[in-house]
Amino acid sequence: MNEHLILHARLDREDRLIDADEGFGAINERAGGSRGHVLAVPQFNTLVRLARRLRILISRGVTIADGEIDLDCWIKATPGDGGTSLAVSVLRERPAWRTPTSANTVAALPPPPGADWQWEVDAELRVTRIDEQAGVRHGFDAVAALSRPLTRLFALEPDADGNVAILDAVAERIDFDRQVATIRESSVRVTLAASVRRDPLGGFDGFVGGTYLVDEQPVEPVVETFNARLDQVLRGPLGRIVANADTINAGQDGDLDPHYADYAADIASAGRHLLGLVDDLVDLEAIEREDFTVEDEAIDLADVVRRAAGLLQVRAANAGVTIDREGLDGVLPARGEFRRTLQILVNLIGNAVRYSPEGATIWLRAQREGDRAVVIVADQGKGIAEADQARIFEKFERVDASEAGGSGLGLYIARRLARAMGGDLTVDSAVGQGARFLLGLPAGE
Amino acid sequence: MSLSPSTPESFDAALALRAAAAERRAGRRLASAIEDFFRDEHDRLDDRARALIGALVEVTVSAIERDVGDTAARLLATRGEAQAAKAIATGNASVFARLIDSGLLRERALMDEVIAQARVALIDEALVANRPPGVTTGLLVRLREHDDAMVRDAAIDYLLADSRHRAPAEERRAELPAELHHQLVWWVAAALRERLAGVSPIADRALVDAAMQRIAHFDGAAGTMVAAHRLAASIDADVERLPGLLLEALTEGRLTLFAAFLAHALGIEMDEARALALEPDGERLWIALRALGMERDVLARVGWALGEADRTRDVEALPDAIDAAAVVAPEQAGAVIAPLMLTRDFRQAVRALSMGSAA
Repeated sequence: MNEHLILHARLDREDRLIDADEGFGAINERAGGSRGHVLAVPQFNTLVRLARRLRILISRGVTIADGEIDLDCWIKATPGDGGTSLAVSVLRERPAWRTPTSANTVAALPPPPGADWQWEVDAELRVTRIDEQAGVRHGFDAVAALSRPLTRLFALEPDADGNVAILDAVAERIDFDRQVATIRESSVRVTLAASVRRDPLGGFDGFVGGTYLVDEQPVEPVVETFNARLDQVLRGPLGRIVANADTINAGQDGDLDPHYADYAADIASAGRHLLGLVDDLVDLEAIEREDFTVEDEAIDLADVVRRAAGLLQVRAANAGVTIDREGLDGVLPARGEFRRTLQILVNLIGNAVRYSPEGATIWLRAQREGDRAVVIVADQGKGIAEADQARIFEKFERVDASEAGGSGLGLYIARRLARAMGGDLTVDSAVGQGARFLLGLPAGE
Repeated sequence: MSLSPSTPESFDAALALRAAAAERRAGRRLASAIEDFFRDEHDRLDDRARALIGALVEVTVSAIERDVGDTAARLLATRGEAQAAKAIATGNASVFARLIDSGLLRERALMDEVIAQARVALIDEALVANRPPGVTTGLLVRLREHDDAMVRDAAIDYLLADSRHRAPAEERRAELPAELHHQLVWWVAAALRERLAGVSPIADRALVDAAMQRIAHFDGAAGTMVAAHRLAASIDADVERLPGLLLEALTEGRLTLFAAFLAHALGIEMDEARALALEPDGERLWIALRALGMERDVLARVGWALGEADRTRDVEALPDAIDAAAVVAPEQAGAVIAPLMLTRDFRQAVRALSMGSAA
């Protein structure tokens, strides 16, 4: 606690002033009082009288007018055998025309807006309220934080100038924001903001605060453990969401408003999209690892194309798109990994189906060109401008950014896989003329 | 012969009806003005209490409305009553306003509970604000690190309940005992029913099912009153430690815990102990403290802390009251508060009867 100016006075059993230090005497005299009489400052006199009658030490905060200024004081009256002693500690003084900083209360003080979760601390910065669910979500024990110092929950960090915002705020009894901190238990980085709560005399009485998660790009975008945990963390719940939404959509649980059935279908399709993204991320994590390798097998590339086209036949039919497989009858020996090659082709043909207008045709060709076995997937979509042709092979880029769906990882992964097998994936297109994707692999015997 | 709406006779009849209604309203206004004028200043709600009571009731009703309404709408949708589902989910008619209009919320037990909780909240806040600068408290900090695991667990439960209860005003609900909560759920369900243009057996069934779900999910043991009482029981303080605990609870701004220590020591119920702590003149509280053998000094300190924190008390009258109570012998005091230990239903019946004969 800060050191305050403390004034003293002694009073007899009839509450008359016996003696006082200079400061107290001055205040009492300015109010019209003098030694041998009851105190002229009514708040002082009242407390002295109550202490004498109750026969216990009592104290309270008061504001007294002293000339041009108002004094916020804490006064303490201690009754004794010979009379009562009074101690006045002057907490702060302010011009009389300035209204006291009003006490704000829980009822009146809203928490900072938009926080991910809220907390409150008392005047000693001990946690009095915390969002239990936040602990579950962000990996810390909320119950352990209760009644303990805020600093036990958060490791506070100074800003660039070495200032710790929350400490300055306590000292000056003001709101703060952008206090950078880390949740000790989970190492999650956050920023804190809070509104100050004041007692009736304007003193510090705690904070009503909010925690904001910091959106940080991790240095390593995909870590190894990510892959290992994907199944349990994402695939399981997503699978259940899709399954339940499908069940609702199918109306197995009874009659359902058609709107709700449609919502369920939307939920299922969004869930599938996310499952696809999970698959892509698992692939991404795998191919970006330094020790990533592919099998070197003898494969029939024409056969792989036929299988890929077969897998997408239903989707193409639904979209009113024809897949032209003429010229895939023969055998086209190549070297690569069967599974990965199939994955690339499903991606390419899938894209072609997605970007083709109804009634369009997709041509598939497999041919040998020198020492390479080449598959061509050509569509009648709107084509890709030359300037965009490099971009679409980048991570998180899409052929058509305005089109929903797709993770923006497919072509990036496809090209990485093709190159890992000693081949390449290129595009050849012009706006309005459709696109031709060429997958080349080393030719086989 | 039938009267068309425009005949002079029907016009006169409508006018007479309106005039009669206006007269009744004027009569009611005058009655409440008279009541207001003669009301004792100390019995009057101050603005903060009024605002907090209003917020508690409204937030509590809205929470139940949202819960029961959403569930009923969902049930109706799956049962093929899309129209009714929409009416329930999107109806604009305020359930809160309807319950106020109907007079249902005037229910004595309900308002007694809400007013008590609002007053406890305001007193708690003032107790903390009145703490001398530099005074630190450590009751709960100590209890949650207690050697006895039972005390430790009870302290954590209490802190959790307290944390939940400290929600900002716009989210803070009253912690209702089971029977009051259930009653309120049925009222809300009945008010929601009025949103439906025509009532069907399916819609009624859905509302009943939604209300039953809400009731089934109610956890009466989660409130601060119950948690505080359990904490006091786990500590099981003796006569030596009790005064310190009572005063520390007040210093920390925890009137519910103060009431819990009192309830456990006296062997009375929590709501009775809280009522003692909230009584503005404190007469019965001094007697209760004397029954526990507390000295004058403790009475005075409790009286001072509560007097400073509660605007409805007259702190100038406190010294005389304490002087009078201090001379009452503990046995005598025990006999006076003995009826508090009797079965709740019996106590309430005795009270109701005496109020009836006084009127």
